[in-house]
Formats: sequence, structure tokens, C-alpha cells
Amino acid sequence: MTTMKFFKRDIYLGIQKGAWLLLVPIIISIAQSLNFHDISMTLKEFEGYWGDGTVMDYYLFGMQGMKVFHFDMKQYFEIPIYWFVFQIGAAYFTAYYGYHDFEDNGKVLFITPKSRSSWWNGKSLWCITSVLIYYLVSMLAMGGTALYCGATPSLHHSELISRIVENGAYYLSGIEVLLLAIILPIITTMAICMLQMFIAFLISPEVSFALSCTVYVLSAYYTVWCLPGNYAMWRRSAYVVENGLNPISGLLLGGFLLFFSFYEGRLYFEKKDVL
Amino acid sequence: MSKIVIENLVKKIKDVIILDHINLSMESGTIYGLRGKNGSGKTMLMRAICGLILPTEGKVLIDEKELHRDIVVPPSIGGLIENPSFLPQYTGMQNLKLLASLSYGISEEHIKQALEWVGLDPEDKRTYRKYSMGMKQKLGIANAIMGEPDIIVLDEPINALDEESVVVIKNRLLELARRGKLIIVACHDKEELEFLSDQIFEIKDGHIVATEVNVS
Repeated sequence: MTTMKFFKRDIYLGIQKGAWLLLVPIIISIAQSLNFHDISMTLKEFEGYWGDGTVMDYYLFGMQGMKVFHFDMKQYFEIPIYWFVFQIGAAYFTAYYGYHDFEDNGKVLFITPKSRSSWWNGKSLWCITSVLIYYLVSMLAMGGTALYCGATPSLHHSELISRIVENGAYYLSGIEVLLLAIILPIITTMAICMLQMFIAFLISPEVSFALSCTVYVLSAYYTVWCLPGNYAMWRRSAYVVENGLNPISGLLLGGFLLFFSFYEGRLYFEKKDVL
Repeated sequence: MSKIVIENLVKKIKDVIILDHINLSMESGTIYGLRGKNGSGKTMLMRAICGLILPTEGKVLIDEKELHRDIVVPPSIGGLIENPSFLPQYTGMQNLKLLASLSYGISEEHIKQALEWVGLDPEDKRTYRKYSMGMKQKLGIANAIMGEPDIIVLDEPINALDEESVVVIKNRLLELARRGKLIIVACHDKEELEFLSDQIFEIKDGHIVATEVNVS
């Protein structure tokens, strides 16, 4: 019960403080949607065959990340900037509130409600909810822009996305799209944000945020199962490309990081001196 | 009715001994004063009583229940430890309401009463960031006493207060003690502390070096 009271307070204060950061997913989503619209119009003009695409096509384009990168002396590594800014926007959205709330109000907050673990439980729920809101805002912005651009109001993807992004996308079922493009990226972002919030207390929020950025950069460069950022890019999935990653390992890794951060954080705050 | 018993309490931080084998006992209806220089260990002792720090050795018993073993925080406690910290964008009333919402049994009436007791207007629309130092201090005291907890811990409560406010706060604390509350006050000012306290513990380098019963 006290956890829910803390959660209510954190939603009220945390989201209020960082609400302006929701402009990041909105801007990126609109920009990516307009980008997709331009490409689809060009294809329509030159190849004739293609339609306007569906809302899901727009979403998949926005969440694509980058294809599997292979080191090549002749090829430059280019970070997928929209994807990167989207992810670090979510990391920044959740980076400082928990730490500052503890530093500024810890003494009062640990005495008045008479519960240490509830404070951390509330922060964890807040972090998870913030990521959900972040993605929801992005989906709404993409959906809105897609409809404005004349997309078919459907949650099924069309052949157009395989023509523009990745051939393998055509063969994905609705459930697989749900897993790869919605569930897995959300769980991955949640896990990274939770771990970041916990590490902020062990080291500092600045270092913790920098570590999150590093994980995303490394994830774009190396397609390996242990770099969680990979699972926030559906086109790196084994369901889409031959040498991609198994999404189940993404679910397990994300679930483990979420549980680890929550559990270790709880133990940490039960024993932490509030000075 | 509350009783605090501290047995052989030791607190080390990075191998520095902050509290060194503290033993004391406190009971309801009494105001206890803690006296000592800066860094003597007064605030750390208060933190230990509030459950904010974990003892390195020894134990703090609240009504025979050991802190951090049987209970996490004393079940009925209010505290002002060092500088009060509140949300700058909210009024005093809003700040206390937000904190009260995290607790049980503190009504809006309790909050208004606590604010009036310390001389703040519950209807004041000024935000905390516009409060003077004295008003901030009063809000910290109001937070500690709202809902009238059994144990009230106040670290330098009369800092930054004008003379008139000091008299008001002193009278309120004496009234609360008469109503059976256990009050612990740390204060630099020897005279103020002697006026307020029934018993004074003098702390030096983490030790209790003297206990003085105030007969006046």
C-alpha cells in the first residue's frame, strides 16, 4: 500500500519534472514517419507498384535501428542516430529523478512513511511506467503522423516495409511483430533504465547515464546477445535476418536485468545509511 | 508511551568512529537535550534513533523492539534532522500534505494544526522557495510534529528563528512533553537547552561524557 502511495507521488513529481523530455520521442517519431512517407512516395512514383503503407509500416520503420554491422575497412560505422537519440532520451528521462529525490528528500521520506523498501518499489514502478509512457507517446505520434500522411489504418505490416527496410520483415507474423517491435524493445529499454537508476546510487547518475549511452553505442556496433541494445532493433532478430539474435535470449536478458536491478536495489536500500 | 534504550551503540563510517559505545535510556513525557560541539556525534545519534543509519555495533531498542531487526523505523516518530528539505515549487501545506499522504492517520486537520502550532499560516500561498530561513525551519518542525508522534527528534530546531518564534516553539514542545511525548532536542545554545530539557546528555567525540538532570 505504501508502495502505491510512493508510486503516485513519483508519477506526479517525476513525470512533471521530466515532461518536456517527452518531446524527444514525439519529434523523432514525426521525423521518422515523414522520412518513411518520402521514401514510400518516391517508390510509388518510380516503381508504381507500392501502396501508401500501413500505420504498422510507419512504426516498424521508426523502430528499425540498424542492420547487423560487419566490420569492414572500407565501410564507415554510422550510428543509427534516430534510434540512438530515442533510446538515450528514455535513459535521460529516467536518469536523475530517483537519485535526486533520495539526495534531497531521503531523510524526510524514510522517516515519515516508515518503510525503506516501499521507496525503492515506488521508484521501480515509476521507472517502468515512465518507459511505457515514453513508448506510448512515440506510438501515438507515429500513428498520428502516419494517418496524416495517408497511411492505411491497419496494425498489420505490408510488403512495403520489406522493400524499404528488410526483406525478412515480409514473413513476420502479427505475433512476431508484436514481440520484436513492441514487447522486446520496451522490456529492453525498461531493463537498461532500471539498471541505470540502480547504478546511479552506487556510482553517480552522470556515470550511470554515460554507461547507458555506451551500451547503446556498443550494441549498434556489435551484434552479440549480451549487449541488450540489440534487442531494441527488430531488424537484428533471427526472425528477420539469417545471422540475427534470438529474441528469446533478449526476453531472458531483459527480464534478468529488470529483476536483478529491482532485487539488488531493494537489498541496497534496506541497508543504506541515510546521511 | 514510548521508551528508547540504546545499548553499546557504535557507528563507524569509513573506519572513523562517529559514535562510540553509547548507552542511554529515554522515556515518554520527557524532553532530552543533546549538547556538544559540531561533529561530536549529536546528529548521528539522532539519525540512529530515527532508523536512518545502521549501527556498526550495539542496538537501538524502541519499546523493546530492535531497530533494523524487528522494525525498520520507529512506528511513531517525527524528525527534523539538519536542514529541512521540501519541494521548492509547493507551498508549506502542499508539502506536508504530500508527505502525510505517504503515512497513515495524518489528516488535513492534523497538518493545519501543526502549521498553526509553529506559527505558519496553512492558507499561505507562497511556495517553499520563497520562504525565509525561519519559515523553512518552522515547516521542518511542523513536519516532525504533525500527527503528534510518540517520539519527536529535533536537530537544532531554533536555528534561524527570531526570539518570538523561539518562545512559541519552546512552549509547544513543553506542552507536547506534558502530553506524554518523548522529545529529543539537539542545540548549540546552552541556555536554551537547559531551559527546555529535563535531562541533558553531553556528547564529545562520539561518547556521552556527562548526563545532567535539570531540576529547574
